[in-house]
Amino acid sequence: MSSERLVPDRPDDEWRPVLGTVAPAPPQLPGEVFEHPPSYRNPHPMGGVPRGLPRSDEAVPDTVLDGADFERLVVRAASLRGDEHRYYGEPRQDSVALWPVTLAGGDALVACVADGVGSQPNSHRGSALACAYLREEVEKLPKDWTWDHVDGFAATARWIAMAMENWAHRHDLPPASLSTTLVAAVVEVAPADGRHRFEVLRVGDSPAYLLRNGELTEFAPPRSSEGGILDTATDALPSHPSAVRTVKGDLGKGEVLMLCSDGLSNPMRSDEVRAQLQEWWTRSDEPPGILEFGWQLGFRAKSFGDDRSAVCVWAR
Amino acid sequence: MSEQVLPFYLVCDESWSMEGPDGVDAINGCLPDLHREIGSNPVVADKTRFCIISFNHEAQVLLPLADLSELTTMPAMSANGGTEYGTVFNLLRSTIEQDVARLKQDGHQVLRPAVFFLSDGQPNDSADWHVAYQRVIDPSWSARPNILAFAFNEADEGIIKQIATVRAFSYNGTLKPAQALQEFAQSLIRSIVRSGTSGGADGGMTLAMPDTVPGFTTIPADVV
Repeated sequence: MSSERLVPDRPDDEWRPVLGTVAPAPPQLPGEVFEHPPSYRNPHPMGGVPRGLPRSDEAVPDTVLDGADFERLVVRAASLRGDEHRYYGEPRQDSVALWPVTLAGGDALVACVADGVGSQPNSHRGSALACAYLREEVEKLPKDWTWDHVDGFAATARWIAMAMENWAHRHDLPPASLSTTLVAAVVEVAPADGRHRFEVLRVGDSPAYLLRNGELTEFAPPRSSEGGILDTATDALPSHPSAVRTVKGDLGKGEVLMLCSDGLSNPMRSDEVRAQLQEWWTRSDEPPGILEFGWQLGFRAKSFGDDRSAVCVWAR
Repeated sequence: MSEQVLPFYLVCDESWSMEGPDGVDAINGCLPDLHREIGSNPVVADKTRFCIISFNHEAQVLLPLADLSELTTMPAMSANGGTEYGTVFNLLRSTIEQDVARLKQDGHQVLRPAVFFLSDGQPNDSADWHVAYQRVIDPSWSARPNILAFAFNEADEGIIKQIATVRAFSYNGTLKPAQALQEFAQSLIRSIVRSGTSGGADGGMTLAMPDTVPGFTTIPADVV
């Protein structure tokens, strides 16, 4: 094979071999003109290769991207299969979902991220179900609903858990096989006073952040474990609806509400990763496009091979 | 840049009775396989680290905790001397302590370490080793490892049961000694590969343990 065909985009004098080198440089394939997302600490080159398609009853695509540009709110969602699931041809277990709903006579956005528990065989179904049932429950909220509902989310989590258990029984599956975390937000789309009220509901270790003044700050971060051994245990639906935690707040112009799975929050413990995301997402006058947002989440970091999902909501 | 790290410790008896093809040679022969399999698997190579501690009446760190994909050689074991457990448990505790502290200092997120312990004999320090062992499994020590223990040839099944915190295996003679030791090494490789790749029951990376190992009988660990 001539090296000319391998490097079609380069002028002659750049690719011509230099006499005296021992090992030839690796061939530059045409696909490499694509600019890859950042890579941290030299992850194994085979790590991100999807070596197969998952054998599951329904299609679970490798990547889901979504988004909308409302007049004063921009939302982006992405869920990317992790390097480990790609390498083993297994389905992505995370889910993301965005829905418009009418709440208290106004338009609202429902955004959720769910992280199916690693070892459970149906957790990819569980994470999708948790998102879908959350939307059903939000739509059932009464007409006199106010943006002061956080206490009521305890009941919402219970209903979601019950609906998931019923689904499991109908499909003759153990409810725990659906185990998933859930972090969801209801956000006001067009507030009269310019501040978008929001409420967040969480079960498990999928966090929510506020990006304000260039800093991502986690709502109610967990206490770091003493002695420093990483605690991987998490609360999950449908088993632990009582572990629900809630927070309410409002988003001013230029601020971002971010929900994600621990496939993002774990590598975000590194300053480099966090700083890069903050830099990209702080430009509220120009949030990333839908494809660009997916690209940004596609960074590779050594040893972080989990599914990675996030929803960002920019107020503008 | 932080990484998630699952440290594995192979703690292996190299007293004189482990000499020859039915002893350390069989394990030495498997170490390159371990090196190759781990190094070529991107998922595992990126997050597991591996350490070899060998012991007879003394104990030494033969291979300091390393990223196998960055190694070019592996050390070999060599049999001689008696068998003492106290020294090796003291060394295991201090080694894990230092390794976890160093990994934390480098900003890494460390998962509970895993120990594969293999011995073929009775400890000569039968009165003393328990104290050192208790320090390894001390519930107030956050980095206390999960221990799988293998009894080979003359090793006392009852003692191996005491050492294991999760599962113990006893050589049962159904395979030749050299084959059984290869199975032991294979179980270590599989455990590393699956621990690095499969989520645990709680959703995170945890130790994947073999249920059975050919040539060995599985015995439940004493509850500690």
